[in-house]
Amino acid sequence: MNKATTQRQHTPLDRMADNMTQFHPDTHWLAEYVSGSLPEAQALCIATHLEFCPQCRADINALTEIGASLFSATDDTTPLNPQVLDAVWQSITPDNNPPPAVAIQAESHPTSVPAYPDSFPRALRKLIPDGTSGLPWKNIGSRLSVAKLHRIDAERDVSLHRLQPGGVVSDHDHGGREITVVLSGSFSDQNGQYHPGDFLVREPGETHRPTASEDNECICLAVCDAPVKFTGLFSRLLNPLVALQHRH
Amino acid sequence: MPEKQQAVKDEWAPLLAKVAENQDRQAFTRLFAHFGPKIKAYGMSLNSMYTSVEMADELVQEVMIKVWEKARYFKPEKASASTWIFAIARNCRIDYLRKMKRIDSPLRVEDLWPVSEEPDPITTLNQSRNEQSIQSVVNTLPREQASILRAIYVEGKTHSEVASQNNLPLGTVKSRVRLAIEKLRTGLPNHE
Ligand SMILES: [Zn+2]
Repeated sequence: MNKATTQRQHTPLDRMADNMTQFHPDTHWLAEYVSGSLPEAQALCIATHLEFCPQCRADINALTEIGASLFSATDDTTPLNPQVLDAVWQSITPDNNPPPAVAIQAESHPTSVPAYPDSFPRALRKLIPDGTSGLPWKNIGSRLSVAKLHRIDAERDVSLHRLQPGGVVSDHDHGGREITVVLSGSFSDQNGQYHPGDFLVREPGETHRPTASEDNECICLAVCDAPVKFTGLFSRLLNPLVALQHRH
Repeated sequence: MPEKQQAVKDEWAPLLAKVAENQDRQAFTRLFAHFGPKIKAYGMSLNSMYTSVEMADELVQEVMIKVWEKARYFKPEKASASTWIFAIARNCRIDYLRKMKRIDSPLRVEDLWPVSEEPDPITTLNQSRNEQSIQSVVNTLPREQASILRAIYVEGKTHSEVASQNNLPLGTVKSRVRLAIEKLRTGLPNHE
């Protein structure tokens, strides 16, 4: 019934389509996403994961229905202001409605396609109008570069991290809680190997040692809480002292 | 097979179809009478300093205009009418808060919270659900689970807000929500 989860033999090319995603957001992330209380930068991480992950999309559908049934069961005895319906009628006069379907669909099909890895999700593409090559990449050491994206909520930084093939970052801790979603390539640390779509949360105090796979560069979306001066999945390299140790 | 689940009809879906096909004002008036008060209650429940009667009325207006404009994108095989309208109301509420907080973002709310107004070729699950079955399970939830779920969904609180406002450890709130959701999902026809 659900074609996306049909078992097939994995060939390397199948991996993307066939959902290699193994690291999923916990239920509380999905519930806050569905209820709308999740800050936008974190919602971006969930929306990104969802484009890769049919399982979580199914969860989201179920959570939305649960929300709808709570919404339907609200105490709706508050009287409606009769002027509200009048105002609605006024703004939906036959002249300006219904809007042409073409206009709405056109938005989701950008005409010129800048250079993104194929795996880049829709929401993210809008933040990177000129493609990844047009971003202000900053090299942090020889193996890692970081590009800050447009701020979409006041308390978090949104950036892309690009780790060269085989690049290793030494054990490090994060200044604030950080969400990482793999967009292309893969990397690993002591807890596992991460593929496109994988969703990881690092709490402050957790250390890890990311290593990019040998064959491809790895690009991740990173959203970090409580922006401190240097943040990020590979953040210790931003610290000049630590960076020095890597310059060999 | 999904078809067997459709014994309980979604009585609002055909009205949305009439709005989409014929701009049927009578059908729309019935939708307004049913969903308008729910949207208003949903607006009034928002846990925010920006919540007010005016805001709730404005929310009703905005959501119902969207319902009129986007009715053609409603796909009864993907969601029930109330699920679709709930998602629109949620997005309008997010958008309202965004304006109040003057968040400047290049993204539309729909970019982050897509509603089925846009083509989504990858959603394969059949979404015709039996809402009454969820509703009946909601009624059997222990009171503390039901009220936390309501705080999360209807009042729009985060788990941390629920925890601090109820003097509960965050882990307790998370596990109550998870338990409630698991229980409710067993009321959904497609749960595996
Ligand atoms: Zn997932």
